[in-house]
Amino acid sequence: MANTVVLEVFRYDPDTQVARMQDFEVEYQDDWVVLDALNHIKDQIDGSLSHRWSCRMGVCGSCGMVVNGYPKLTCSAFIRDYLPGPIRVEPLANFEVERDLIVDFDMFLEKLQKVTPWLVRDEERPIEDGEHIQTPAQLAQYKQYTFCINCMLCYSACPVVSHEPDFLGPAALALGHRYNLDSRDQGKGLRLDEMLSSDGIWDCTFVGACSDVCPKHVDPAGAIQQAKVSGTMEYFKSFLMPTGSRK
Amino acid sequence: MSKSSRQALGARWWLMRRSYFLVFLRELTSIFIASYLVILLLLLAKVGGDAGSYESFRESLTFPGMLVFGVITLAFTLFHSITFINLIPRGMAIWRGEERVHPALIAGPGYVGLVVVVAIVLVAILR
Amino acid sequence: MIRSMGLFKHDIVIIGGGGAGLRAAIAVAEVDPNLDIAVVSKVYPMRSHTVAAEGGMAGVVKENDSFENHIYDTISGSDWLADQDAVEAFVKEAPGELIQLEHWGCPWSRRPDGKIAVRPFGGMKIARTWYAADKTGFHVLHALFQTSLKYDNIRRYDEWFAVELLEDDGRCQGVVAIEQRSGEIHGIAGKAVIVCTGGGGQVFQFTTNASIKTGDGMALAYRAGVALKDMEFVQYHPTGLPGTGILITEATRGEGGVLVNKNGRRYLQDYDLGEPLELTDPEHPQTRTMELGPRDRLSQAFVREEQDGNTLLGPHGTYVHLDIRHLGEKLIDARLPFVRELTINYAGVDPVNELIPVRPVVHYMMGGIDTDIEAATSMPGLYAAGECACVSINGANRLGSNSLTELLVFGKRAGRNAAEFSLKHDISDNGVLESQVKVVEDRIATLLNNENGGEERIAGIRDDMRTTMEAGAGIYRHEQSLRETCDRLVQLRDRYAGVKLDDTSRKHNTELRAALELDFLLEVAQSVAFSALARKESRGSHQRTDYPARNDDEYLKHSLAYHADGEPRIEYKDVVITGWPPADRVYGS
Repeated sequence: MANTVVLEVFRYDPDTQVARMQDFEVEYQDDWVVLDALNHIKDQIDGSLSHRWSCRMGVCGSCGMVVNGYPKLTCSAFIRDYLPGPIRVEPLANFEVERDLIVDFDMFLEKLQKVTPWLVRDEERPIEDGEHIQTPAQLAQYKQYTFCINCMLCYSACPVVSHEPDFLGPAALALGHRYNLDSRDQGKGLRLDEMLSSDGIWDCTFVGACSDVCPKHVDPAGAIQQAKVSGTMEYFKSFLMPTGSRK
Repeated sequence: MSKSSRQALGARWWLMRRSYFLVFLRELTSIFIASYLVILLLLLAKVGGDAGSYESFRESLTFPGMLVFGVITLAFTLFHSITFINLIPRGMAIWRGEERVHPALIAGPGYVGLVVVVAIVLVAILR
Repeated sequence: MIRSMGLFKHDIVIIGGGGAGLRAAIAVAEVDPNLDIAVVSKVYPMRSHTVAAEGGMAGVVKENDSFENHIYDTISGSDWLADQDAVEAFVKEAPGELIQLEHWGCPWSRRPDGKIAVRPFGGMKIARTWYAADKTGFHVLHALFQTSLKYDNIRRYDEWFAVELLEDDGRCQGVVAIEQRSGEIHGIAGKAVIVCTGGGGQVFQFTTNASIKTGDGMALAYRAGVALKDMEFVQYHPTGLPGTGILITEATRGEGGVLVNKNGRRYLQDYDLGEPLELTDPEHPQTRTMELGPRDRLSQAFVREEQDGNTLLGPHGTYVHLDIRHLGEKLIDARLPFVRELTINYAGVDPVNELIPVRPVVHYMMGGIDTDIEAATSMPGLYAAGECACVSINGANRLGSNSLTELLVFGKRAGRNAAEFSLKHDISDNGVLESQVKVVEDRIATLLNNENGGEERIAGIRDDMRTTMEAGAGIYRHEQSLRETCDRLVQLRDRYAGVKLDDTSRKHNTELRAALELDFLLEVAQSVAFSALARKESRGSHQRTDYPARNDDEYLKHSLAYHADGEPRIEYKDVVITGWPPADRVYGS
């Protein structure tokens, strides 16, 4: 006797702009994840179900959705943890839905661009001079904030993103912080202008849901609070030492 | 491109999960603390005024309603203090080599400080 | 009805936004900030499969190493099928590229003195693999992507699916692509085109590869008349998780992990890979020995163990064990944290105190679009780099950690050469390209209207193809198994003509995309199977039980598969030999 579970899947038709829930009964295997069930539906039951996925191992960040009300990577959401079901699968919250479980990702890319998310140097080091020296301790300082896979579960969980659509958001701010902490970087001034702006770190009220849902333990909430502390100190420094350029 | 449907968390977001609700309560503490502050300020203002108005104000503070309010405010203040102290380590990254100093070593002094300050205030008031 | 709104015109069009594509884009942008670059990718760039690479990136930077060593390791690893001039150029350019990536912010793991750390890797005499914990591909891709955001002249077409190359005047002039969000079909024209679409592991049933690895660019070039070179050489990575095929990096062995069979024996010692050292021996793991042998030999050893009944049997087939317990929790958390996470989540095993079940799974295609040492194809204006291309530096078997380096070295070469080409050519102005867009529009419309009258589900054909390839064109092949595979693929190609879509809408029609990807997969599968049938020798990862020996007299050549009606036409061209005359591959000495 086969094991079956019911999936309640969010459907959205961009042509008619109609949203609805559709139930599918899926025969599953014990080690399946929710993504396997979605693929089964698409392959065998209803080919019109549209969703994003790629690596199925939790590193590409494509398959983020809301499962039973909680943002998850569906490739890491095991069916056995949701039994007996039904399992409700919806697109990420706080994003425009383009179709079914596919949301508009461009919103994040616009915000990411604002935090100058690359290594800034006053002068490029010549290749012949080899690598910048960076000790393991220096690497440790920013390493955690490099783990972000851009899956957007944090944006889906954040009530501020929900109510303040221009808020830069957890992942973008954590990435800004990552570069600020990188010992090789000299672009803090550039980034802080954007991060300390009205849509930046000060919109965050430290709800902490972003860190709760982050599958990679980036702790963007921690990054933002740290940025608040260091941002404030930079601000006061620029008062007390007006001649020193902000680095 | 057609209009699309954004699933916002909505105005009742704080009811959606236990963790959200606790954060909401945490933020709510500010109302109680602010109200209590207003009462304290009124008390101070009355101290500078005539004796009769001060006396009647001080008596109103012993009404059952005010006592209940006081107890609730105390509970919220403690809740705020505990959550705040527990969260301090997240905002402070202190390193020893390649390891981050354990959060307890940062929160711990916070609690010690809280106890010390409360003790000082109590001693000052009760003396 | 969807109309083409004219062409989008750029100087360079890059198809694919992974490591090679982004490196190429940055290379063009740095040649000239006035050059206008399009990066066309069916996924957002940070989803590209480069992200899943784990172990590291090889390059000679340490004092105890030399170009000569890296060259020899690569050539012998390739079973002498690599073009030696290309390997020489690759090895010499590698260090600069790695350092450039460090300058672009890649968080390489470090030695205590702050210099780059390196780890040993399979088939390499000296440890030269740079690594970022065990998520090197992830860090490399994000460093490249975030760096690419610096350049105003890189214009991205995110989630645009490339369907066909544009061609006129004997030159490649861009691509016809579907904007997935709207379903609109447009021509994106360029004076030069670079294909960086990765490999096609999804033709096989079990693979480390993501779902997006469907060989799109290989098929695009193939259909445009460019040869696919050395397609028979498919690498099985020795350590993938059974069932899912999830990759467990070679770095586990680089750090000292060992493979044991059902009887707890380190069985590789029985396969000419040297003698095992005690795990506590400071010399363990020994390079080019035992678990640090080349991937083809390790995967072949597994199959022989399986035939001898020495493998374990689980719900997802046979497997052996990878043991990293002796490395200790501290080292595992520092250098293999992702491995720990993967095995706990997907195998239910904590490698700190349990054995990891592993088996060989398809991982990489040494073969691909035939390019020369400048990343140029036989079609003027068309370049290719990365896994989709075959230069060849990997020959019959690739060494681990050479592929990520290849993305940078040849991504840059492709970018520079394409930029130079673009300065001397212009986009055709005669309406030919627009008419090619129209032809594609009509083809897509036919598919969407289900006008072929068929009833086949995509998944049925796709699963059939994958099981057929796994069974008939796997680690060990035979005339009969390959013949059957080739015949079956021709049948599948016929069945494909009867594919029926549930989804006939335009916007984000992922079923249409799956159908187009299956079309590409079938092309790639045929090029693999027919090339394998034609090569009557065993070399590297292509092993024929009916021709078990390497035959340099007849086959020290690259195979070239040309697209034709029915079955591909296979030709050959000589391997370039410079300083390393063909010799035996020796490991374990």
